[in-house]
Amino acid sequence: MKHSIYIFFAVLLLSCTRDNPDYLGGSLNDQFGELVVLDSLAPNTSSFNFSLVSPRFFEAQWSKNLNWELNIVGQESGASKQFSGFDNKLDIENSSWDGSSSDFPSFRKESCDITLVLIDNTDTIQMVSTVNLSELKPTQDGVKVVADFEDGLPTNTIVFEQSGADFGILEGFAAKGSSYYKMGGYVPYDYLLGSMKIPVDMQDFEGVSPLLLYFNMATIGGLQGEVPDNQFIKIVIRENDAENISQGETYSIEINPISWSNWQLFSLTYSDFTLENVVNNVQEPEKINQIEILCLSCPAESAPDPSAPICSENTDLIVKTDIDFIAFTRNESYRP
Amino acid sequence: MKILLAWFFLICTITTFSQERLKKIEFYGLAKTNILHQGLDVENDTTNLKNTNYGHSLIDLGFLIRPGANTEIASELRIRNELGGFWGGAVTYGIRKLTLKGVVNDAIRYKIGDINLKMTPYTLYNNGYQDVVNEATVFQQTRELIDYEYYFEGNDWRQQGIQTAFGFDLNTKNFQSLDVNLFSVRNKVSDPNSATPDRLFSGGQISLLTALGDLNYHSANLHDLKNTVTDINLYYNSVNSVSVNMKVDDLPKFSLKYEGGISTTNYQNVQEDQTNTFNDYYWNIGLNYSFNTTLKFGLSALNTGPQFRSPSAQNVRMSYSSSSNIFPTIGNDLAVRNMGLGDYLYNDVLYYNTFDEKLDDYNPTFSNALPYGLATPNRKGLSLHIKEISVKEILNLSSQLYFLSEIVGTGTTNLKSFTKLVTKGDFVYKKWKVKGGIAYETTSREGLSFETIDLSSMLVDFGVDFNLSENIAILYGGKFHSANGNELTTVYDNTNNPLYFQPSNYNDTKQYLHSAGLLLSFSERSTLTASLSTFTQYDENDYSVNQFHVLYRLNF
Repeated sequence: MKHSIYIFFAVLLLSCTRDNPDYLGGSLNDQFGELVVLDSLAPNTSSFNFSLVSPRFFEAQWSKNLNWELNIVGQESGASKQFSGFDNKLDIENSSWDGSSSDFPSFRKESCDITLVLIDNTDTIQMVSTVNLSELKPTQDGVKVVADFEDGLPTNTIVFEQSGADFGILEGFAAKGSSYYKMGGYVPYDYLLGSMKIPVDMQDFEGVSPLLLYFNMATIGGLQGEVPDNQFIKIVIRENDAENISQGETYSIEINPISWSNWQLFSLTYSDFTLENVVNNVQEPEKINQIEILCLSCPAESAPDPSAPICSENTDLIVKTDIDFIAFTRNESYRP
Repeated sequence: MKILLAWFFLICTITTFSQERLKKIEFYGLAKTNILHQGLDVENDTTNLKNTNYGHSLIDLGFLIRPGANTEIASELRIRNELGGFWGGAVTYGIRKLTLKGVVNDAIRYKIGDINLKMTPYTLYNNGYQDVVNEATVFQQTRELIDYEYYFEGNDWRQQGIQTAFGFDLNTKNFQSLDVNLFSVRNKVSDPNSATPDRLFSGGQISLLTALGDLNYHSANLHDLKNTVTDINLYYNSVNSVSVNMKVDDLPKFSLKYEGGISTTNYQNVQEDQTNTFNDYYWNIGLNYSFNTTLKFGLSALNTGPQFRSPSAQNVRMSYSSSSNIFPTIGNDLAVRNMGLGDYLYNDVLYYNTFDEKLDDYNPTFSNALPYGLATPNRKGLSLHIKEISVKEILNLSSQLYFLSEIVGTGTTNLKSFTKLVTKGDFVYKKWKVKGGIAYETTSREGLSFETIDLSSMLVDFGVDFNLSENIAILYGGKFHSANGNELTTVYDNTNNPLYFQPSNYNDTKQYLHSAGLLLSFSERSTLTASLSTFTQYDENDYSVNQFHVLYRLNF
């Protein structure tokens, strides 16, 4: 028995193993080591051609893991793309770029300024570089562009403008491309300034779940104090499941208020829209045949409905709810 | 054989006779008066108060009630009065203890209520003070009061719950007896406001006494009860171990000791249905050698994994980094006064009188090699013990020497190395009694400049008692502590994994505590100790505290 016990404990001791990490806790080098740049910031190629399938990323290396931020800004478009992380280098794993921007506006064929900021407990180091965009990214798979206003309004679009409203296509600082649609003006006697009805054919989206169908649109307002605080947009989606379009099932949603002064992507799933006119109470993406965009704001002087509130503080404030690039995507939001 | 039978009969007769005369109700108790006057001595300080005066009296009245021959109820009532609290305005009352114990069928012992629990240093163990090596009598008088107030009895944990014990006589050639001890206590009370569930601590040990020695199984399980609050997080820890104490047949002077076990810890996030699990093990194997009855050696090897979790054994008895309300600030810039040896003995410091799942903060200058006792995670190495050297019964010496290192580096692949030496001595000759002890520790790690650790610390105890007569003794006690170097103290996350490291620098800091006094023994149960003490700290802000202390104790 004695020898059995000795053997038992010898086996017990020898059989013990652990899968230990290299060290426990955060790295002392990361906490106390000196921050030194080992390789400067640079794109992996001098020019990024996003039409080709090849990796495009940025490279840099420094002496310790820390929080970093990489910011790419288009010199002409003002478009920007941000990356961030906690690493000791930039490589294909953490700074691979598909040519999209973090929000509208999108990049153009232009030169971009790149800034990398390394933030330590005690030091902040900034590195800069540039990269040229020779070709833009291809259109995202599964995108159905309803209107981008580059070649005017879509065919059979119906525009309604109240007196005082100011609608129309403008060239210049667009969210994508060079043209966008101006919706605004001064209509102190009604909530509705005007609307735009755009026909759309969605038969390619048959069988797509409303949870996976995204409505995307770029919107821009104005600076606070220069536009009404309560200006907003209403989006109405109509389906052709009745004899005429005005009787079809209707879903709507409001973007209320439009309170920002830079282009922003507004992306919602079709299932987020609220039922407004019932036919069969089933959202059927393939039956969508009209998108209506309404420009609205609280009137400064009077309203057709006497019980509706009046906003005298909006006197002489010009409504601005410009839009650009209306599109449907499936499975994911549009990537500007 | 006849003599043995006669002795057995005599013992049985005395026991039976005593039981018949056992009183139904007995009283016992302790009364004490504690008066402490302290004065702060610090240069260029015109802002802070310099003197404080404190005192209280209390009586703990204990009852032993025996409703039957096999049942006993023990209870202690406390009445406490702060000195100067006239007309009952500062009187407090309370119950210090309530325990029911008994025996069922003369076989199964049980305890309900306040119970003391202890198993092994890796499973259930209340680690001792880190500012004590071999304390002088004048300090022991105060230390015993702290132990009494916080229920520190050796290395036992005071808990509330139920405990039972029973055994079997096996009486075979190889197996002699089997003893079972089980317990279940309520470690934490639920709090709906913080979504803290009820927590139970359950376990026990089974001991098998064999012809070669004893074989023990220990189990300690700390676990939250579901649905006692709206659960957010649930905690579970289980430690199971086996220990063996064996004689080596061919070498009668040698004996073998082994303890090894595993721990499993779950941190369950109920709302996100996620569970983090940590498993690890430990072992400690040693060989003891008894040269004779007065000289014993031991050599051990130990290995405790970095993820080994044992909340009831990985603990620090006192927060050596807490602050005191006595002279909390010093200097005109109101700097926080660093506590020291004087505060640990006489002032209001934070004691951990129960355990929880979080590793307590520790002060690396008092214990860096094994801050959580033998169960300190992430340690491996050797220890050499000179367990006892006795010279003509007037001099007793003992010593422990540890050579340890981390198993896995903390924050770096380089490992910290630790050495720890503890030596104690007691000398008794005629009217003189001398005590002394030294604990010396070093910590080192090589590497880049920010990885380098070089810390040394020393704690010295010294005391002399001289008995003027049977009832009067002159006492002197001294304590000294020093630290020099640097350390990166680990800050743990909620799962007790190292998160980051806090730099600490000790520029040859020193502290001294000297105390001289008189011990008057009015009877075996009644003593009065009066002492004058000076505590001096040389740190970032140097200061001294002078004090006069009177302590009267009566046991009845």
